[in-house]
Amino acid sequence: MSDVVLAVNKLTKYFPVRAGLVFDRTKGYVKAVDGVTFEINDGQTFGLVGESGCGKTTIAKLLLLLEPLTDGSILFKGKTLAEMNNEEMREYKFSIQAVFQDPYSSLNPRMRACDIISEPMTTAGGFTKVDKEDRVKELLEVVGLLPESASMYPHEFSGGQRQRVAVARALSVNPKIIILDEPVSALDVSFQAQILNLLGDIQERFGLTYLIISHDLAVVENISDTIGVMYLGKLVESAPAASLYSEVQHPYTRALLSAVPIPDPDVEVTQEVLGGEVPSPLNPPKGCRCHPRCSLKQVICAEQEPEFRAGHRVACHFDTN
Amino acid sequence: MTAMSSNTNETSLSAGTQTRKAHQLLTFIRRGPTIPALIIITVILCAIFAPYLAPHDPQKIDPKARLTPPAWSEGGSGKYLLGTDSTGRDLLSRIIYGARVSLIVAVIGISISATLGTILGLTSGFFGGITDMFIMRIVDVMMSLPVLFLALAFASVIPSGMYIIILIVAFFGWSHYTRITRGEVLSLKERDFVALARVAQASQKRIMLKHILPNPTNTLTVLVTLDVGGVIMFEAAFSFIGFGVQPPTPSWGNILSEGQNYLTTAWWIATFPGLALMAMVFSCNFIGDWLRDALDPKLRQL
Amino acid sequence: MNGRLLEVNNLQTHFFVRRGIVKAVDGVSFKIDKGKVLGLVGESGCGKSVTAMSILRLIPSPPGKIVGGEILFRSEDESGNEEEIDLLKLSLIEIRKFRGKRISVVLQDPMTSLNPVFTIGNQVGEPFRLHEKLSGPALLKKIIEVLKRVRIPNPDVRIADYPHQFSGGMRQRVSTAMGISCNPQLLIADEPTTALDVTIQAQLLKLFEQVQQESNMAIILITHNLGIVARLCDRVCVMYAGRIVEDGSVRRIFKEPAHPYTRALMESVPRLGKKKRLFSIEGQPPNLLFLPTGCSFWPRCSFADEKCKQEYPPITSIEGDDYVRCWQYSGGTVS
Repeated sequence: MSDVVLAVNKLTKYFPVRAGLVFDRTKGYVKAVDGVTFEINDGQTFGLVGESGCGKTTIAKLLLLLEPLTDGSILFKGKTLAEMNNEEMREYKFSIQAVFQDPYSSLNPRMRACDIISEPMTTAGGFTKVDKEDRVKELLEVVGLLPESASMYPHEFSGGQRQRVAVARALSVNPKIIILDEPVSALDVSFQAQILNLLGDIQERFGLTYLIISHDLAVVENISDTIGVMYLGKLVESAPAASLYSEVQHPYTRALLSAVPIPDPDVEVTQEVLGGEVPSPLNPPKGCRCHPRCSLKQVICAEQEPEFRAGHRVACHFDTN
Repeated sequence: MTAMSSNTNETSLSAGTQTRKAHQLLTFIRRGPTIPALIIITVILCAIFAPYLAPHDPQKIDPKARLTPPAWSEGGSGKYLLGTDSTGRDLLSRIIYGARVSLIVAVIGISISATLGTILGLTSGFFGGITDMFIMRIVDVMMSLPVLFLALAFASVIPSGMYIIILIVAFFGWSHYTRITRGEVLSLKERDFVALARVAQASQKRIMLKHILPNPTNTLTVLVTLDVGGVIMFEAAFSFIGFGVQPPTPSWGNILSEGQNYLTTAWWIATFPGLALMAMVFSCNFIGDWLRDALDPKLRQL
Repeated sequence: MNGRLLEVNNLQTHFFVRRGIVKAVDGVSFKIDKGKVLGLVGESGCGKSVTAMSILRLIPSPPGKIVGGEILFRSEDESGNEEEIDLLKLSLIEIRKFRGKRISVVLQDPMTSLNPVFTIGNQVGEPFRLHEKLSGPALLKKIIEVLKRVRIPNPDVRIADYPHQFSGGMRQRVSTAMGISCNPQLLIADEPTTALDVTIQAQLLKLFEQVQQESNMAIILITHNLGIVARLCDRVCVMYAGRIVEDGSVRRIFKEPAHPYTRALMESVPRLGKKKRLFSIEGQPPNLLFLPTGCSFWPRCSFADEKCKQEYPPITSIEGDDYVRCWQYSGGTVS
């Protein structure tokens, strides 16, 4: 078993909801992430899936230090961020980079591709102009773009090419971890396959660790080693990608899996259509958060919150396998 | 329409990007509004080279040639192309010099107000919180002030002249730049590339100057162009009522003002500076509208 | 209730822009039978939405213009006689009688297709007011009825709500209600579930199936999700660069894709429970202003030869109505 490079322990993020005409008053909290624990091994991919509003993007923001934590801790190479000194913190910040969903919004329209790609090097300091030019050339080749693209502006690229630029940028300071927040959701099918393959290739080539976040189970399954399923700010099931599909345990995961339309006309539709909609994270249901939509629910589900069980980890009161 | 814009955005990376760019630039210019552009260029040239272009000294009085009509009408003289005013000064020369006043007021006044307004808008939108509230309340106050009355009050206390108009334009003009910049900054701030710049550990200053500031420039360019027309009109109006540029220094406004007394006997005195004013303001607005479309990346692709 | 409903022949919709002519739809022909579901599949910019909008005659003009072809719609007139009408020959006033009544549409984003300042009752009732001149209690009854058909709980209460009071999935149900309100014979659904979460998408797909079976309407489903196509459609047209490159029954297309592009599309989709390296179509979709000569797919096609680069392939029949436009096709799947 390889080393754990990144772990989160009881990660929690509440967003205050303010209201009031004259004075802002906190009226409650949106429990975007509520005590999530998982770890990612070196060189592996952890996939987070869930419906919109389940808190998966908030986790990305917490790891990227774009939002402060409410509670819990982030561990990088076994050490929590809170314990780190400035030097170690700096190492963490440049070890973790990101690729976001919308390549139309993630590249500054006023910057050339070369400046976009080399920006992390510029801010890190210590690189000459020639260093940067060489690195940009090298990275463009890695992501499969022509060297001429260095001087082009984002609007001159197609969606798939933009996402390649975004990947090159994330690679520029040799990070250990890349957070992929819906990296292919905004792309057409053919670009989707191109980018997924590219991500797989560079992971192998540079020994990267990925955290991929997506609402598309098939995409996550294709690229991940371990998958975590989130619902309303909680991790409800976590399992190796190879066994999640065949040994699905949590009723929510099961429903999620069966909701994905299978591209094969001969497959009988055996859908467990999940009724209702995701409740508001401002006021999540008591007990197991899934119970209002669950087909297996019993009295206990509404009263007691299930613990995460060991092994193929699942948070449910029942053994459904 | 959505399908359209998406496929035209997918410009392929084929060879000849360079030539296509040049071609795009050419069509861009060719499709521009030629006549308004020519008018503006003429006015700018007049302002810069007034001493060389003006056939006479604009302040030189020629009592013998008082109220000479334009050269082409009866009684006109080839010496004074657009005729003369009540003291025999050459109208054409005065209009050419008047362009100077208009442009100086517009350029300096708007430079100050646009810069100030943009900086305040950027600060307000970027930092938010109390800074934002403070700046925006000042903007609200500025926008609720009765500009004309205050300007008149100003002008009656301080001796009038060109600089007073510049001051008024700078003082009252910045608030809408602040509003517009702030609005754009607020939405830009939420864009992914700003989050990614944070992830790349870019400093606040870098994010503000490199990532946010360059983006509203299109909107600001349009705003400035439209403002030029407005300010020129304001200068003329202000000089017309006697508070702005003082005679004998010519400005379109004070020539008009002098001309109004002779409207029935010497129509040309008020008509020509009026036409110049109208043409200039019209051109600025026209160019502003055209820029708005031309700079819109969604429309530019088509 | 069988037989042809719509026949599109050689439809050409072009956009006249500064830099040239974008042939967004360039000679598209297909047919749809009554009560069947046809899928239009392809990547963005391939012309699938423009094709659908051409049928409704909702192409923004300028710059767009339908420059050729015919769209034959067979329907019953008031007295019950079958008549065949070329939608492209109708005047703008006549076409309005079709839109919303006999041909209707559900769009991708219910946020923009519903007007935020009117109650949903008001909006769902619009087609009834326009086409059936209903008002008062009769109208109200109709609206509640149609909201019930799309399974909106408590329709009599929710009728007075505004769009922002509905969730994304419910809003799309409202749009669907507007689409099916006058029992159209043809419903055009343009990426109806793309903006939704999978579990909500599953609910809506089920709804579409139910509604379609209840009222036996034909649906043109525009989507890029092959899973949805497999589940709902009877026939599929695969579009590439403004043309249909393959047309066939769902079963045949998924089992034996005849066109290299169709095949590549099938293999580039990640599938649950089958982890493997994806097949990827290299390169970019062509710029419609600078289409390559010959088959527009050849720069990305691994089977292309000289012939492909010179001439656009003709229609080759496969079986029944199925056809493919590829020089390399010689029965079965290309390989």
